[in-house]
Amino acid sequence: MTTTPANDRAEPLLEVRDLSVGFPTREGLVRAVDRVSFSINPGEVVGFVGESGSGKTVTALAVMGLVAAQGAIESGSIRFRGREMIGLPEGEWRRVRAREVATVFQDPMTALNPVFSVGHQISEVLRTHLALGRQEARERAVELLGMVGIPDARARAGDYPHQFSGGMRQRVMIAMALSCDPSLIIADEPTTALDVTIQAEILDLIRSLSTDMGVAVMIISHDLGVMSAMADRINVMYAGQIVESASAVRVLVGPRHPYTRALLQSLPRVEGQAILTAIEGAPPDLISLPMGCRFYPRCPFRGDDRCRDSNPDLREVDTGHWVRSFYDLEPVA
Amino acid sequence: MTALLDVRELAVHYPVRARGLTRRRTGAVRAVDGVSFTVERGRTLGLVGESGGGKSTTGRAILMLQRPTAGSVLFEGVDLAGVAEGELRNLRRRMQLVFQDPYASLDPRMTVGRLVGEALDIHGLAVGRSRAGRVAGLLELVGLDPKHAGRYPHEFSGGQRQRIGIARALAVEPIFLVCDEPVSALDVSIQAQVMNLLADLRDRLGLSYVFISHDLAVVRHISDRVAVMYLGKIVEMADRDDLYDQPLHPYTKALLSSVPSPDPNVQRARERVMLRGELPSPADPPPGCRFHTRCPHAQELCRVVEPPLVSASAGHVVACHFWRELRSTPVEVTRARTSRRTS
Ligand SMILES: Nc1ncnc2c1ncn2[C@@H]1O[C@H](COP(=O)(O)OP(=O)(O)OP(=O)(O)O)[C@@H](O)[C@H]1O
Ligand SMILES: Nc1ncnc2c1ncn2[C@@H]1O[C@H](COP(=O)(O)OP(=O)(O)OP(=O)(O)O)[C@@H](O)[C@H]1O
Ligand code: SF4
Ligand SMILES: [Mg+2]
Ligand SMILES: [Mg+2]
Repeated sequence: MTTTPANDRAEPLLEVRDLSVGFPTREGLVRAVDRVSFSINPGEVVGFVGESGSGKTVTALAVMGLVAAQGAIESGSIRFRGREMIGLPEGEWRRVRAREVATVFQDPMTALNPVFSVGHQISEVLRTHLALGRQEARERAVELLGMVGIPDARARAGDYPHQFSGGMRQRVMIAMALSCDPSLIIADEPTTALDVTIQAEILDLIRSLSTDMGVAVMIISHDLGVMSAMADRINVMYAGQIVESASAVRVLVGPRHPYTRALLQSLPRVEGQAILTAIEGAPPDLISLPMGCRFYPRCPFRGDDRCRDSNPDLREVDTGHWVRSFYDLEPVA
Repeated sequence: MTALLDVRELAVHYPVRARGLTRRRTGAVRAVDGVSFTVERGRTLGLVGESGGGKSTTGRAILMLQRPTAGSVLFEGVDLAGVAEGELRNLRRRMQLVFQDPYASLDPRMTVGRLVGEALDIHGLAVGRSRAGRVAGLLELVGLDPKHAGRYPHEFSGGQRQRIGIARALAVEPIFLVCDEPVSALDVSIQAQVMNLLADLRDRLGLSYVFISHDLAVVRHISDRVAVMYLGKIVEMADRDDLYDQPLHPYTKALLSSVPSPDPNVQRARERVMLRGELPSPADPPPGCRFHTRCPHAQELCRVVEPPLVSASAGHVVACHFWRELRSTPVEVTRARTSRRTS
């Protein structure tokens, strides 16, 4: 495969091509990520949506150089600012992670140290990575906490993680993520554990980092509503592969892959939806994948033997709109 | 005809005890604090609201899995709160619970056939050949292959496990189910399967549900009537479309405007109602209107006087001092574009 969904114009910040990740296990090789290609431009918000086990987190971990440590086998290319990262020594990866990429996860408690105040933790990051002095780091930490919307930031900098609510803790995580002035933030289900009114605030905050500060964001969620609120571009994952990639509006309003379309039809809406068309069956086992299209066993639009017998490549069905299917659904009017 | 379920002024207060040896009682979490509603035969009442609002506690109290502190739960006219533990067993056959996490509630060492059959045995409902037949019939009813009765829970997917949980609940032929977040742990593509199954069973078997979920879209889809809970109280209750299309309570409006829509056009046009502050502790709920610490419309009155649940139109009740004014004047100060900074 020579083609890849590329975002035209600017030179991408991150460019991933044909990335594959497999985990050897006792039952066999788990093909968690299979020939995934995408790119993220500076300031762009790129969403990854897919069901549990579709490979979203493993893709993110690979981009951070963190899967090799888990014994994974990988192939493909990961370029950061044009520089190939696969094969670089761990020290180089660490430098990129520290200076360029920051992460926000679903559960901030696992990333925060319970025995230090949040202000102290952010100051430490600033002192190590940006070599700021103690006083300067302290001031900057308070500033960051204020910036992410913690009321009374100066006083609260002295509080410990457990003294914050879930939503406030996620803000602290984001302040921490911003401390090294990253060019890319990877947010993996950042609001899944939060109530809906709090989720809306955190999504606003992350979105504003991109709009106001030009930070690129890779946001992962299983929620198409979150994608709609956040992403400029959406990559839909199914069983380890990107099956559709296009601008958010194209994916959500004019999906052309059978899975994406079926998924949207199975979604209850808060605006009301008379009929839910369920997708029968379940995603395949990553150890014994179907020979053909991974969605073939469940596909309501499936075509001839080709679908059953060979796995389709990503095709550009319209400018910037990529679909991994033999069957191209008509664009909806 | 009287309602199948008639819940009146239900309250559940959990004691809060001091740390240390004495475990002195220092207060109470008012998890549910005076909740009333009815459920008609064949109908579904949805309970929505954010974490800690008291939805699960309400569900458990209806089934007497948690004894109420006060109030009554009339099921087919009998007040369950006055029924002794020993006699509840028979009534429990008529009412069952379906949980969020099907895996945690299924014994991993038992085959699916045994898991479903066990429910029959407990109530001595079927033995011998008729038992095997009943098990097969139940599996079929929930869309599982009866040939798989010999398999173990881990051999099934999440959605299939939820079907097993439903088959178990249906084994004793209940007429009423409390479904507590039954699809929350499931993948989107599987959720619809289980929701359609629940709706289908309700229609075919004439079941009634109390359906609990924090997901407003899911609740809209399955419910006939919907109650919104905040800190142990119902703040608004109405027929489904009334509630979603003409919400009156500021909290309901905030909730509905916070759900991101998968339709980018709806999402872009959405006017968000922003809330201030954080969810207060139910151990120490704010005086007056419990929502006043976060409400964008709170006035002095709200801080002092608790608004009663009043009827706004037929079947539509709301607990807000200013629902009338808020209905006629559009929300002003509280608008914010979704892409804008919150602070
Ligand atoms: N260290 C590992 N060893 C073996 N298999 C793994 C490992 N890490 C992940 N996997 C498998 O890889 C697949 C993809 O996992 P991944 O965590 O990327 O999914 P996801 O899309 O993030 O799902 P979720 O929405 O549940 O977070 C899963 O089947 C998972 O079980
Ligand atoms: N057994 C218990 N002992 C003490 N407090 C409890 C107990 N169970 C629940 N609570 C408290 O009662 C309140 C209501 O809890 P409940 O589980 O009913 O809420 P919920 O609306 O179901 O929330 P969620 O959406 O998180 O499931 C919460 O503050 C909770 O911490
Ligand atoms: S009573 Fe007052 S505080 Fe409560 S919801 Fe109405 S306006 Fe808001
Ligand atoms: Mg994940
Ligand atoms: Mg609950």
